[in-house]
Amino acid sequence: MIKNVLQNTLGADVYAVISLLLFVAVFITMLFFVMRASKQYIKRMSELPLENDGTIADVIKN
Amino acid sequence: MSRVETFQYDNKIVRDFSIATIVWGIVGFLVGLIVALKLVFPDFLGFIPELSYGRLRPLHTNAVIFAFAGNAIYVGVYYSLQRLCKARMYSDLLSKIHFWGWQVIIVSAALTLPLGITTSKEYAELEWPIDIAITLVWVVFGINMFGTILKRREKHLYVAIWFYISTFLTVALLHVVNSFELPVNFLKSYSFYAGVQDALVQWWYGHNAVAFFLTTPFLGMMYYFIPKAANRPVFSYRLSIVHFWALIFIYIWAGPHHLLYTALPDWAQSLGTVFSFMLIAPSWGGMINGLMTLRGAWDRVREDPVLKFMVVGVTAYGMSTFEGPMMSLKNVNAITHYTDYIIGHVHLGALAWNGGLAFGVLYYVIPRMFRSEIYSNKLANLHFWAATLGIGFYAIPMYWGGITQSLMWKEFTAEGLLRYPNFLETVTQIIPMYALRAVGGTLYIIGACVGAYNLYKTAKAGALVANEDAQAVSHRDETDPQGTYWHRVLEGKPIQFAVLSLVAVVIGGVVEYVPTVLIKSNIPTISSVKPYTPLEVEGRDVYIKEGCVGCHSQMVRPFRSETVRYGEYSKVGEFVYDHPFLWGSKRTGPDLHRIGGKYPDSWHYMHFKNPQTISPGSIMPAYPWLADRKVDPSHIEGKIITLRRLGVPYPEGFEKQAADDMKSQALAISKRLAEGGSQVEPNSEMVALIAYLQRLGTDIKHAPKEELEGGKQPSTSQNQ
Repeated sequence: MIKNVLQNTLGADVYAVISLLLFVAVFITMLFFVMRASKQYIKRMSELPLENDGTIADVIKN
Repeated sequence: MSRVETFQYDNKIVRDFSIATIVWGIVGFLVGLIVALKLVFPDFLGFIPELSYGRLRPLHTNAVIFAFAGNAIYVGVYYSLQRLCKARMYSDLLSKIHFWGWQVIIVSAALTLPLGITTSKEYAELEWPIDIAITLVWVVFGINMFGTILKRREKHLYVAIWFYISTFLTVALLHVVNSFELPVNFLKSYSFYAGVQDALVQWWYGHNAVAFFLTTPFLGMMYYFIPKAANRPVFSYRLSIVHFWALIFIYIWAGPHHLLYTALPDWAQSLGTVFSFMLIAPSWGGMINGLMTLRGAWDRVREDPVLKFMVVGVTAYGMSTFEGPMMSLKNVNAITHYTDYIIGHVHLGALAWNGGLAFGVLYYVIPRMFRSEIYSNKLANLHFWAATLGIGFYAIPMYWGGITQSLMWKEFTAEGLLRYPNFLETVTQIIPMYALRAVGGTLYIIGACVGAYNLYKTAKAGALVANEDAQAVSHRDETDPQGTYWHRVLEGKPIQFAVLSLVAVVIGGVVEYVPTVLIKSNIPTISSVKPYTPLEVEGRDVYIKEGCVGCHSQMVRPFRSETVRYGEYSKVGEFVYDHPFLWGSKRTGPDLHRIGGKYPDSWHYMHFKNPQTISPGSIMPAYPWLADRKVDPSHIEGKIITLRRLGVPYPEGFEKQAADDMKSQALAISKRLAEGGSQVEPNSEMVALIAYLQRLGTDIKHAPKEELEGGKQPSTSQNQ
């Protein structure tokens, strides 16, 4: 079916397949690296907005 | 040795953007209510051209997107960026230029759109001088943002900032590419692209404006303000990395889903569909991440207006991003497209997601910047419930009405005839839904006004801390214990980060843009399709000026229900001289692509004068001024030259005869009208517009059969 809809344009089938492969490659690479992230780093980053802003209000609060 | 640095956050600029958000928000909502009422009472506000539906609708959409949501984005960015970077904004002067520049752009939009100065491309209606101003102000915002990021004291960039960076870069790219246009004069230009190419670029822009103006910056705000307000870290930081990269990478490919079943080549449509469907994954990943951040804190959602608005907002985001991919499936799209279902969908997004986040952020920042408590939790509750109920009363009637009308369009009798051959029947059927929608909108506005009052009183109870003292240790003094992890390294290098996210976005952009280039050589030519005559060019510009495209499409899809109702389905080769394309996106009135020759000139004259005399019960507004307003003959020469430069094959020297050509065609039409008993000046806008309408979609009637067969093949089952 993919071939059918793509055959109007010369080389478009290759084009679509390359696009899809490209996407899958990028996605899997990213996923791989994300899985490998250290716990410490993830914890530090996720708490980043909650650290005090360094303002007077924070000083009073703490 | 770490040393503590003292600096100040700029709260004044956040306050200014907050005021702008509230004021423009209420203005934008009110204009929306006016256009909603005009669909129930077409005579509402009389016959003032500047207040007609076609001209006010783009004002409403622009006001809500760029004035309300735009200013809300700047509130969120200016507040959170400073705190996440532990630094003041890079330059107070740039902040000020950004603020005032943006407001001037909004005012110029509010002046030009009602005057009919428009390019007609949805959410990109503003004419070229304003386009340039937008570019400049956007660059100022970008410099200010990157400057702040570069001088930050916190080494790492939190996920919210990535979303802000991608917003800046992608919107810049979209705006510039879609705004390629050739000026005729100071307030008029023609799109650089034509027909199907113009459509593809426009919806690459339109789709991604929703993605990178109404989604990514608000996701950034979600990732900062929900953890802040709930006082707990984001549910999964790992998920947020996946969310970010997957979202910006996929989103940009999905634009063609706005053009399903149109004359766009099938393979481009399929690409759009596949990527739209995949979008569910990152979108829902984001929604889950936002909502799950509140796990164990749901009791606070009951009490805190900030969290209430945000929960409704993020939930609506999940619903909208489910609807979107579903409507990208061809069989669903066949039913929902061109109907009010889309209007329901976008308002769920705008009122609940953007509105919810915007008001949530305002309820968060105002008390903190003014050192006060929220003036009244009761009023905040009232605001919340009025808004939430308003959204329900808005969206549900639109969904219901949209599907009802669509099914009526497609219904056949046992004899094989359309059950509702008169389009008007399908409109009058859903007018009660239009009325209910206006009730929903009114509720939302009441809520917004209560919210504005509450925030005003909150501010009054305290005093603005314009420059808030803060202290932090600069990251330059920090040692990094684990500098090797890739994303951690990347977050320490904002420029490389920006380049990488731009690459992610550009890949999708190129994938979509290359087809447009291919298409140029692939448009099946139809030899009988000729450029418009000078009078028709002027008529087309009247069509653009009056915003006819806001209610009428010019794209007959290859469905039996449409070819029986309107005539031959639209071929891609028919639009090669259309700068800009006018396919439209909504059918409040019938499609007009095959209107040419369907009715006599006098029918159009009477219909413009008073549609109800010809079609009792019609909700089309009257356009009596078309008969009085004159077409200025001095512009046509420039228009012909401009169009020729863009590739329309007018012969050399034709521009000199254009005015005469225009006059003689106009005389013939006014003579025919006079014979029918209607006296109209030949140089009136009415005559030009009639000339254009009578030409629409007629060229194909003289085309050789084999050229039409070489055109786009209908790819659908003929039963729809």
